[in-house]
Amino acid sequence: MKRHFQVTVNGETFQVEVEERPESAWPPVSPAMVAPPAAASIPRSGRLAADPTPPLQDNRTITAPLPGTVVEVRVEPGQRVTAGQVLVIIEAMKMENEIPAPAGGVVREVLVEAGTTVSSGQPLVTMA
Amino acid sequence: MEDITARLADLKARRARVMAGGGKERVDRQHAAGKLTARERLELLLDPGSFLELDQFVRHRATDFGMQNIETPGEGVVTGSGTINGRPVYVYAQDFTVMGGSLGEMHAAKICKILDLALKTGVPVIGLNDSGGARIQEGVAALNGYGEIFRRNTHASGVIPQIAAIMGPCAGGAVYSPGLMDFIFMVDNTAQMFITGPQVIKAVTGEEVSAEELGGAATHATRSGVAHFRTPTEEDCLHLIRTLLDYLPANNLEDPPFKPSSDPAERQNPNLAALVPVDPNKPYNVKEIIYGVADDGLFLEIQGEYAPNMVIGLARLAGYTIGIVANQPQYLAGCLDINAADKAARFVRFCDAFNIPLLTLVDTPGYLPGVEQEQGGIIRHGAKLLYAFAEATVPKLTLVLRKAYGGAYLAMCSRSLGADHVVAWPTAEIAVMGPEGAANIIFRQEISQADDPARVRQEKVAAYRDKFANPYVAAGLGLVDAVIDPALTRPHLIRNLLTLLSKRESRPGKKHGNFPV
Repeated sequence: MKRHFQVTVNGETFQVEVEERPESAWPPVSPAMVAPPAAASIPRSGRLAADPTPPLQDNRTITAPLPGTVVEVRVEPGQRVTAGQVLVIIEAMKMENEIPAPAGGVVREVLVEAGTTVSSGQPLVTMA
Repeated sequence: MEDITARLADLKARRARVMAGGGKERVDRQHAAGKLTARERLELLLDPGSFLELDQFVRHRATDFGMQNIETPGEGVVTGSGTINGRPVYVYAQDFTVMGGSLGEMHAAKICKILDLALKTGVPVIGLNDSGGARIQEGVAALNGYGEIFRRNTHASGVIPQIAAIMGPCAGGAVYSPGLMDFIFMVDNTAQMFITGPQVIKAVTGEEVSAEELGGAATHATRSGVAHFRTPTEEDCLHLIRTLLDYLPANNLEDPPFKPSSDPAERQNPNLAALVPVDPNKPYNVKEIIYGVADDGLFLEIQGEYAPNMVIGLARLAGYTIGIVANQPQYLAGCLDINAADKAARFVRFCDAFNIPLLTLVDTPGYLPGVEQEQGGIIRHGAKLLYAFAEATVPKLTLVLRKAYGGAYLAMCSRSLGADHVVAWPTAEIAVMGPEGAANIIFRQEISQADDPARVRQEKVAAYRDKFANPYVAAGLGLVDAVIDPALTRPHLIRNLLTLLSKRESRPGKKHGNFPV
């Protein structure tokens, strides 16, 4: 079944014809067809293309509060930790910054090791 | 023939209608939501029996959309005066049981009367907010009410302390009255503040967010910095407001209340020295120093969960209220950043407006490097802190605990910004930058041309540290007035504070400065 739509993007109007077909009728997909259009080719408007806000920091993923170098990892996966217990130490601004657990729990993954350079907001440890 | 008895009975009946607010059903609903009524809140906030109500019989005068048939007992807001620990305050409490606490023209007029009286008499004002927003039926008359309140909040700023507690929804224009006041308290789970709510955001931007995540107490206490205090219950909130007021003067022409304690002014604290690691790479909790110095170890921290790299709050020394600003090495190495500067600057200005001497504790390696900071306007925001300290005329005491490097050293109430007394511990390192960075720059050629650059670098770092990583270069220039044994910090600060209390300093007459907001 064919249906006709009028689409307006950034004030420019397009007439679009859309055909609905049974699933089996799809032709095999070639890589060229799935390649997304180049981002620059789609005019961006603030509303349409608003970047999703980064997820709120939860208590499950502990991230680096500042850029630096990991000098020590004090926990391993499966370890039970209490709130405030130091998980990782990041050297930055000439300070060995202790990164504590915001809440008690069990360490699920440790994503860094001593020597890793981390950027601000980079996940360090996830908690179960 | 009618006599006074009948008139009294009539008065009593009219009063009873007002006291009942929106009626039993709505009051029950308020309680079921974990909230107290406006009158219950005032009872907990004020000294027992001290509440004097005003404008009980004010009524709305709207006639559109069936409003002529709707009675709004008390116009949805309970207003009056009372005392807190014997000191007068003006209060208003919005009544959510009456038309959702919506703000109409006359509701706003009741609040404006309270603000006018508070400003005229030089008495603090406390607003308990619990309102669905503007009363739509009244249209622009209601909207105008918000504007009238904003103007009064602004004119009262710096004259009387203004405190807002958010104990329910507070959306749209309603948020800006609290926003203009000095302190915002929020109650966990029941309080929400936002300009545009989740539905509007979803409709316009497609973002889905819960009201709590968008503007709950936790969000505003940790992420936006809008809330200065958050508490688990309404009772805690009202109690904390009483505690805060105990530190504050009634207005800008008074000194803060003097509360002598049994904690001796000459008390030495030999534990202080061990709290700050001599190794400048090791973090510690600066609040431990504050507890160790303040009267009875009491410190009322403000915005504790927001920008924790800067600690601000109120305490007392020998009975006198002081405002404390401190770097927190435990978080972001104690760096200054946009949020820390913004948080501290507003607090410094509050203290200066209300004659509260400032104590600044310094241990900061500098400004937080990063693209986000620079593009976020750290120049503009960092300038607030410089401006606030330089502008302040209250006694300014500065204690350098350890690192005081570069521009951040200047920003933390240095001598050059007008500190009246600067004291340092022997662990202080007052320099243009840390020894590593300095040696790398000064001796770049020597290091790179050396046969063993690492060894030469180390030697040069050590040499720089010996020369500059101490308080004595600054003391030699008179930029530090004294270097003391940490154990003597409390008596030293108190003696200097007592001398400085009579400080008088004035600035050139002007309309107002152009604060780098």
